[in-house]
Amino acid sequence: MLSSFFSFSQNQEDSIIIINSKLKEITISATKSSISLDNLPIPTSVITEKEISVTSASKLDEVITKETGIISVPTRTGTEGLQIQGLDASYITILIDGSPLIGRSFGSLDLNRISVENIERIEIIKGASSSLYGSNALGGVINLITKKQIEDGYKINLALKYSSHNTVNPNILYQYKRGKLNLSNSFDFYKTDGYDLINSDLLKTVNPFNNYTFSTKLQYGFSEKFILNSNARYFNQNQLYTNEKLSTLYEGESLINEWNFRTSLQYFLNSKFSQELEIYVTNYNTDEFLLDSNDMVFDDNFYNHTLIQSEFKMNISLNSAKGIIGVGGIKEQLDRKDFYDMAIQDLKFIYAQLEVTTFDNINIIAGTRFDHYSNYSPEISNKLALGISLSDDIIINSSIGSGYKVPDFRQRYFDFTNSTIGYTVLGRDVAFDRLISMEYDGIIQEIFIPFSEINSNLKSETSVNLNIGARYNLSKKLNFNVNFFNNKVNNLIEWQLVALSENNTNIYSYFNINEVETKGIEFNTQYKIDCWEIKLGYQLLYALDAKVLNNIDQDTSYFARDPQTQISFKLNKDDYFGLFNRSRHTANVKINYQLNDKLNINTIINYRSKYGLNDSNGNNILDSYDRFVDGYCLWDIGITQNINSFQSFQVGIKNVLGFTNPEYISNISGRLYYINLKINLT
Amino acid sequence: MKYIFLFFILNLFIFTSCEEILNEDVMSENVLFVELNASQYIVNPLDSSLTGKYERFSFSEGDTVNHDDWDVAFRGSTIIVNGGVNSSADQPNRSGSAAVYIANGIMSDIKIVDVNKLIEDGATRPAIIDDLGISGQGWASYNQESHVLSPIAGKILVFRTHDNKYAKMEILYYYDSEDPQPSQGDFGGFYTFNYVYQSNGTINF
Repeated sequence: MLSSFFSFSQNQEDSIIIINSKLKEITISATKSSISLDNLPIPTSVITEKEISVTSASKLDEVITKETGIISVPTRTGTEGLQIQGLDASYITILIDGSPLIGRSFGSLDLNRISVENIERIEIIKGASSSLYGSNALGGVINLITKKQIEDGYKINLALKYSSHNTVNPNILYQYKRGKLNLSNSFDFYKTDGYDLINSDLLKTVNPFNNYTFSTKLQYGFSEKFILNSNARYFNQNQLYTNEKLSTLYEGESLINEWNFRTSLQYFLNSKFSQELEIYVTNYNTDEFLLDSNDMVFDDNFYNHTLIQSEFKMNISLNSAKGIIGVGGIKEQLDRKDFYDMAIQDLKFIYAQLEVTTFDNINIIAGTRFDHYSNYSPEISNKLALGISLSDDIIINSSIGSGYKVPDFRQRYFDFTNSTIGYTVLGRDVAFDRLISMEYDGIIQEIFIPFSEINSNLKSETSVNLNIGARYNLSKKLNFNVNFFNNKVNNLIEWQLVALSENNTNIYSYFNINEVETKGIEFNTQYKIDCWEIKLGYQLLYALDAKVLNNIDQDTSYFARDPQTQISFKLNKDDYFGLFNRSRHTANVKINYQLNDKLNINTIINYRSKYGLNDSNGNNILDSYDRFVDGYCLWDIGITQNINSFQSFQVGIKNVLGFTNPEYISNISGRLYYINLKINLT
Repeated sequence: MKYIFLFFILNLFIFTSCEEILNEDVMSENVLFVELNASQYIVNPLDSSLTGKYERFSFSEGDTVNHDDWDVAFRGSTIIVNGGVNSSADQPNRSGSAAVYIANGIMSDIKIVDVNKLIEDGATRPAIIDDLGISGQGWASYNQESHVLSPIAGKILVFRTHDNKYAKMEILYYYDSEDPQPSQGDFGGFYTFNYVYQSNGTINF
């Protein structure tokens, strides 16, 4: 009786995953239910525990940027953001066990916040996934699945890593399972001195910081039918904060506190029908200040964001079809410096998805989602995916999906003046009132965009994503995977100059102006023979602003200057490079050598071709006459040696070639050496 | 009879002036002027206003001048014309009817003056926006990080001179060094420009 009820329970499913994962990789993020990666017609990649472990990575950025077509770029605030299929961090959702992380800075989530020692696998879904995940899932979704003990007993993993820049990273993971109780706790501490790439100024490139993460995961089966799942995570970071004003160095602190808590109750009626009720609460808050010579606080920033999400989900599973229906709500609140008012948003959503397998060789996934905002117009997102197995070795996959991103709080409520450089940025919801009153006060010198054009709401950015790909398993040892992708993003929100004030400060606000297209090919191949595993990946990317192309077509010209004579000339279509910070070519080579459970040698080479960061010739577009950041290679080597069944150590070098570019790339610190000692007790 | 005669005269006039226009192409040629020194200025850091000497230029003389028959004058990034009214007391005397607008294109593309776009200097601000290049809506753009001012490519200044002739100008460079360092006192104000002066009073170049 027990086993019959458990036939579709979570535990059983987990053991299926474990058994299967040795044969076939399983993923859950793309469909919100488990599906074999081979049967999934949506471009998805999985980073396994082993891949994380052999790179000796501490934080998410060290792992994720090794994937084809995924790069991390330094952001304006010094953190790192991602790019997938040429779409940037604002359009990527990061989940931990299915729940979204918050706390974005200029749209991007800092990857250094996420430690990976308790991560079992990372699933990456490329392309628009708003039909399941709502706003922000235009470029893709990254889901980090935390570790869980499967067999009765306990497991303790201890690790101590030391690396360059005096970086110390000890962590402990404790997992326990007995019958219906499954517990997993981890603690990770990270401390570094930071580094300095430019010695001529008073500031360091990255200031010293330390952070720790505590996470716990509990699963308890009240009965065969009821299972309780709870996760909690707490992150705390403390960093030296400095600023240079008029050749004087000011010091202060930058603090981050983040916690999230998720609890769900699953009910398995029978093998065909289950439901889950879930509540997720998260808070991200920062405080950043500088002290003057009298130890008085003079530059104080705060940011406090809370999200509460509840979701009810039903799974129905028949022979060849699986369905999911979910309803839920999200409440969000953001209080921060330079906001006109506290930002509040309420959302109710409903989604449904159907997976069907027919004729044994056709997989269809169809999904739709409706999001209803309290203070914003509703959004509908759809997805349709089709996979056809032409033979045992060839699978053709295609998917089309829509994505959207509601204007974020900053684009709506920002009221910020930078007094050092001298500019003002006004969120769209506050811009009209603020500008009218400025005009009344007589401090507007020049108006470039009539204020009447600002007196309306911003529209959501929307996208249509298309993927067509094929997978070819030439043999058990060798396979090829190719995917053509295309993303068209409409109503892209950018700031534009609205007016100039009396004392020559620019006043900007946000507008839906751009229409961009990113398209390209991603190619991956994997070759396994004896102790060797070789992977190659390549992405070709074109990321273009449709309006610029249109303007060039219609002879609304862009100009550049001849470097010798300084005389202006008209640019051709071929001179237009595309969007900023996009490389046409990215590639990677991964070679892993595993010798009889004792020794593992892992090496990864990542290449990124040239890209442009800013419009150096002042014509508002990136063209071949602008200054570019040169392409570069990063090469990592790591060796893992198992001393015995419970002790191992790792040594390695990251960025062997010692590449740096102090002027443009602040997040690459040069060659890094590390040593990592691990003890596993069971 | 009187009217027929007048008509005849008028016809003759139009005919001859047409002929003149056709022959005029040779008259207007591209001249390069190197480093007109308008760097005698000081920026007030409080309101970013400028004070200092305006350097006056005459298209017909092809050089800087010190009399009232100037066409355009420069002081730092500020450009004024000898037409309209003063927007501040320290500007040189205006004796003419000069006006200006900024056209998009390259020099050879600007074949005719769009007279409707010509604006004389006003009491609140000169015809060419005077913002140190900060808004990027004038002839120059200002780089907030390097503090370098660069003439925007594809911006041609089209002038009516103080005595109702026409000229066009492309500003090429604003500094007297190849790698200007404004943070070390290299503030610029040296105009290198190309210009074409149409001395016959027609609007065609």
